[in-house]
Amino acid sequence: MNLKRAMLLVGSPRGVKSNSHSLGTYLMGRLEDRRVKTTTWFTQDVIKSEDKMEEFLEELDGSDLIVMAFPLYVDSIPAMNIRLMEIIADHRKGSTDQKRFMGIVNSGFPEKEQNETALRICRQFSREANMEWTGGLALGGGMVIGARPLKEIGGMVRNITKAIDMAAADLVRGNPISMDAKGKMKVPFSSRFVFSKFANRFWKKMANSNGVRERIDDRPYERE
Amino acid sequence: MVRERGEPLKVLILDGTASKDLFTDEINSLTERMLTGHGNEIEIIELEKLDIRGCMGCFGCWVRTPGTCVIDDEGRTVAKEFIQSDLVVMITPITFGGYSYHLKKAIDRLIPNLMPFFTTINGEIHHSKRYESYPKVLAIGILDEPDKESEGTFRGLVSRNSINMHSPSYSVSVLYRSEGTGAIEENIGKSLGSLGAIE
Repeated sequence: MNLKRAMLLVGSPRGVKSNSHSLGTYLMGRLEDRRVKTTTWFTQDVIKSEDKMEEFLEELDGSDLIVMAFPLYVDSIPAMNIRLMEIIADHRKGSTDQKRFMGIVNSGFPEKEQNETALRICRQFSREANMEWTGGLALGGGMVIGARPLKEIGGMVRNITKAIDMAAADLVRGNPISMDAKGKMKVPFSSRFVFSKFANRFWKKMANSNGVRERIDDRPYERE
Repeated sequence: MVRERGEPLKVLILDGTASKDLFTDEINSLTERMLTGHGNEIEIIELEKLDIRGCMGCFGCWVRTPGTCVIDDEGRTVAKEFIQSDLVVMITPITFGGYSYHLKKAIDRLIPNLMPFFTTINGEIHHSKRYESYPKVLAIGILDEPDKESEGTFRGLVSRNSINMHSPSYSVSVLYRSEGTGAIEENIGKSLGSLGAIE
């Protein structure tokens, strides 16, 4: 299958200030390098406006590949994307054209395996929306990206950019995302202990800067 | 709060179905009847009717207003009722192997009930508890017809959620629209029994 047009769907409510945007736009850039025409959409904009939805579905009809990049929300996909996926599946009922779907999920947990259920939901969606599932990329410890463009970060995301480069090559060749690309998608953490220590320090610092360090373990809904 | 065996439970039913039909009506009323028949105290929330905005991923519920979502809408009510229950029953059409949009928007807003800090559970990192106790969970998923892959994903999701939400135990009932009342009642009854909600 010849890949000419791809669309990125950013499924984070943080929009351009999200890791999903950083990961997705890097992939789109790599596809553009290979002469694929790309467009970028934001779920929160699409579901809020009928005009935007119409425009989005029109672009979807003309695209060969749809990539949804999203953060892990409670082991799954943020709700607004589920709504959009329902609309897409309904729109594509009975469609027989060749179209592929890919998911990119990132979470703050260090174990990328925690993203697997979300990717299984993406795979099931592909099936129900009559699209071919390319496979997905899952990233743990996503906070190292800090919503910055991957090209500006350097060594910490070297594996991630390599993984996405490999995935872009797979997609252009019409192949599923390779195990090599999936395996490469990771950040360099030394141990869970170190990860937890740094992350917990980060939360305390954030609470402190908002003046609520003493209240961080409040229980407002404690049973009487 | 520790409850004695056989003591009535406080049960929250999160109804994540939309556009009600006879089948979902039957599931709702059967579940309600079984639970009230055993003296449990029930609260039903029809999520489709609530104005619940999507989680913004701002982490304000952890570092600005600890334990409370910064969005002042009915998502707060669901989070409060959830943590104050002994058992939460979630009813949803299985949607791509997961929860419906209506149920998921409520679940996304439950993270104020957790702490931002990390802890290790079964060798994995998860957010630690904010409260002493968390409810047991029964997930009732509805499928038009048997679909092993979708059902497997759904069961996996509920299992993962039970870890992240610190549920002491959980059960899953998957129901097909082709099933009769007897089979549905038996399926839900088994799950409620395993969670100690009915004899």
